[in-house]
Amino acid sequence: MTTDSRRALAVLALVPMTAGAFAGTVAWAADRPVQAAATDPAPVAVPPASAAGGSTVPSGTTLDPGAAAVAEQLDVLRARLATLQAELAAQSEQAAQVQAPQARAATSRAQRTAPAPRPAPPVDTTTRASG
Amino acid sequence: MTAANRAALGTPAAGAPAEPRAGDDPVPPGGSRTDAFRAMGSEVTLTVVGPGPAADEALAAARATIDQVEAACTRFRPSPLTAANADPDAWHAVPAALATAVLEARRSYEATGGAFDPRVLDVLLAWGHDEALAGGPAAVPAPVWPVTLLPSGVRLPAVDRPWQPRVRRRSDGWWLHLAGQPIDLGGIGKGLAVRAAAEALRGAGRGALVDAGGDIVVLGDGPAGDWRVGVEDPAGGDAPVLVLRLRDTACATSSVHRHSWVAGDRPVHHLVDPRTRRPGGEGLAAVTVLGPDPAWAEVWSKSLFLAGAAHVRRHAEGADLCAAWVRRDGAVGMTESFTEHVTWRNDD
Repeated sequence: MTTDSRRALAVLALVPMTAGAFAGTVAWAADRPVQAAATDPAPVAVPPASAAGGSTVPSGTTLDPGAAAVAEQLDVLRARLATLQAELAAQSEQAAQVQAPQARAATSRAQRTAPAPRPAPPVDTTTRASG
Repeated sequence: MTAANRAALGTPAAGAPAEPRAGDDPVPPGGSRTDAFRAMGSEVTLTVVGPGPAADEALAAARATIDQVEAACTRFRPSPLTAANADPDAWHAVPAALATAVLEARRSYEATGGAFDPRVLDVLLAWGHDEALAGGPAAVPAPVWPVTLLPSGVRLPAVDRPWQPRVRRRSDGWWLHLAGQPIDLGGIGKGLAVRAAAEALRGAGRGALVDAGGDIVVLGDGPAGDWRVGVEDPAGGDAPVLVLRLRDTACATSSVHRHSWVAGDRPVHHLVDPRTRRPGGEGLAAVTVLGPDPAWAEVWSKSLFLAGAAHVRRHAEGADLCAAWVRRDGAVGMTESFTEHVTWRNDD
């Protein structure tokens, strides 16, 4: 084994040790939240959902790859839902156009079958306005 | 009424048989006698159904009594009433018809708690209510007649003291003192004339009719059984709002249909509320009252009208009146006793 090879192995052996030391430091800090936050954190404004209903990712935020996939699928489903709603609206409109003449015909039939107002019977005289 | 007028109205002269009308049942044997003429600002029709031997004489007497009452009580031409009105602080010798009319008006004033008060003459004159507006000789071109006599905002003096006319019967006749205030006897005068005419026709046949516009009396049989009386649509519709079946009954209608006009810039009508001295009957277009006497039916129809749409039912039921009313929006209401006479209504 050459000197260079031994030096490379030593560096590789230091990487887990460094990571372990870093993790240990983080764990130590997480166990002490009161001391770590002297004051309450300022409220964080929640960005509103986009008008299109898509997932919102604040700039500068890094998402878990799984969560990003789910959000992507959600966007796809929302788009599909919007498409289906548009198709349904179009079909309803077509149905209404088809049924309108039928409805008018039904109303006309009802009017024809409704009893006409009974005409006034003959009278001998009519009381009008007194002076 | 001239022969030409009778022909125009399709009414025969007194004593002539009336022609049957389309839609009527055949007139019973004996036919009928009819006299039609103009009096008291209205077309007057007198009819005897199944006339007896004295029918013509009764018709003539009925017409004469109407003329007599009108001559005594009119304010549209010189009369005993206009003479008394011209000097209301003096005693006047008056005919019995005028004395009777004032006494009956005084009783009506008391019975209605002042809702009926003939001391509205100055209001009617200020609004320009003349003979043409009262339904005179076919000179009214439209229901609304523009006159400009009373500027907007000018209020007439209110009647703030009880009405106490004095009527005396002495050996030389009747005397009247109007206690300082002129009067208008239009409505009750017509009711009294119809009352007298009906008495003249009673017994002249199997039935009789006195029709003076808004004041009617039916006696006994009509041409086809009970008398069939339509109640005019105050909105001017061709069809009546109600058809009634009546016998031995008086029927009076107070309506603004034919007596509305514009005075200055205000719409007014002839049914003046004596308590406010303004057009009364808010929300109402017409009131019809049935009763045994035409003069009192007239008094109550006017008094109920002045109650307005909000109170007409309470007043009618409180006074146990047989009454129906038409609101400005066309809705028809009536007391329970009135429904017994209704054979048809326009919303059937």
